[in-house]
Amino acid sequence: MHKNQIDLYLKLNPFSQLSNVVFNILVDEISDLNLQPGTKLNILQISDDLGISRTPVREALIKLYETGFVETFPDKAGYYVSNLEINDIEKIYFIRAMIESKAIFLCAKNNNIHQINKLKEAANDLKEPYKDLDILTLYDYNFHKQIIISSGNEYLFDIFNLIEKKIKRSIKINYQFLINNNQINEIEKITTDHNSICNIISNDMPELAEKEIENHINGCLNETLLRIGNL
Amino acid sequence: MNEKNDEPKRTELGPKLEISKHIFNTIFNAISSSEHIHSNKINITDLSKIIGVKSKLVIDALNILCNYGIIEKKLNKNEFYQVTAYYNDIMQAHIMHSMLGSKASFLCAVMNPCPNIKRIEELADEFNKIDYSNNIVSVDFEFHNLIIHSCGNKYIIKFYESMSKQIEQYKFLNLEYLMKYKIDEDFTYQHNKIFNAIALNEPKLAQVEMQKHITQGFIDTIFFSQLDS
Repeated sequence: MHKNQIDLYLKLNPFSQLSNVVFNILVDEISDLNLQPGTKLNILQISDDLGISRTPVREALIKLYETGFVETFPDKAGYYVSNLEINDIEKIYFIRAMIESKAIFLCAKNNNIHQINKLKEAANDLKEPYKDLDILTLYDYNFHKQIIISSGNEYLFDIFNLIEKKIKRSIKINYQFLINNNQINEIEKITTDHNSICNIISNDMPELAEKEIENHINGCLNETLLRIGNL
Repeated sequence: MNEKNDEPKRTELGPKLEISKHIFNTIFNAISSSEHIHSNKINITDLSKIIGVKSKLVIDALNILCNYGIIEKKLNKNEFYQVTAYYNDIMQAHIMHSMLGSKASFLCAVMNPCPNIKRIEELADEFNKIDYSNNIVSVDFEFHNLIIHSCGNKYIIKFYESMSKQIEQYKFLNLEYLMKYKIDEDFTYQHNKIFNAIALNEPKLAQVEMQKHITQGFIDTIFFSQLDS
């Protein structure tokens, strides 16, 4: 972490409270797996790195605790990056399946060529044989985000935003495992799934698109639960 | 269902309105799914044949949907089209309500037992005994809110609460029409069907029954609001 991150956030929104800025920076660090589950968050270290006082850091940690990104233990002091709770993962993936299947149905039904093309572009981005964890995470995440955008339903987008950091984190954990274990065929399978979904939409089959995305996400859930077991 | 002597007087629909409502129901469901309508332009002749009624009745129903922005119409022509941009806020809110409510029912049915199952049953039974006065509103609201809050998914609960104003707005309207018109009596038993599916741990059935119930309420609200306008 670096002071520049604070400056970047404040540039985008100069009126943000500092504790909220710190909160967002730490959420990103946790979602990007720069702070691994179980890592102790040192208030003094964080405030030194970011070049700010301890008060906004303390306030940010309280908010992280309330939102489940960090946890405390009765036998040791301080805040620790929380492990991915299986219970929470299951809830999130349930929501993902719910909103993405609805979104893809609406996308296919609306038959908005512009949005469908954007979805195809997002699917194509993942076609290259990348092995970079951040790129794979970004492109996979972008595809699923584009599904939501293409529905045109703002409420679906609001739900997605509610859980997007957790979605990113779980996507990254999956790819981290696949890369570390050289499972290129599994990465290719994800790409195939995404392209298959785009083809189904192009062929004007909303109900089938709905089923396919639900199967894809439930498949991802099973993989994520396996990965968590291996962390 | 027995009516009490002091029950508020509700207007009978009569055969003409019953038919119009049935046609409207069928067309709304066809538009919302991709059943029977496979292109952007809505084929009135085809729909008339499928439902088995004259084109004029189909056009009347399509005009109602058009007034609510659920489909579009070419200026000065009887040509109707699927919405090419996005649905308006009323339809978007309904989609969300239906999705959240039905998935919450699904989750309640997965749990064995579902929390608050006794109270859910009581409320379902109460809905059948109501006297179509204002009591109907509190019973209905409590039933639906309890299912949401019992589902165990904090994201569903949080988001439903954030949308509660939009949802309550058209639920009020729906219940108003239920108090005013003698709508299909099966509607009042729908809460029982949802409860039964939850109690029997049939998640897909619970989901479907809730979806049907919410959609029926929405359709009735649109249809009857046209009568009053």
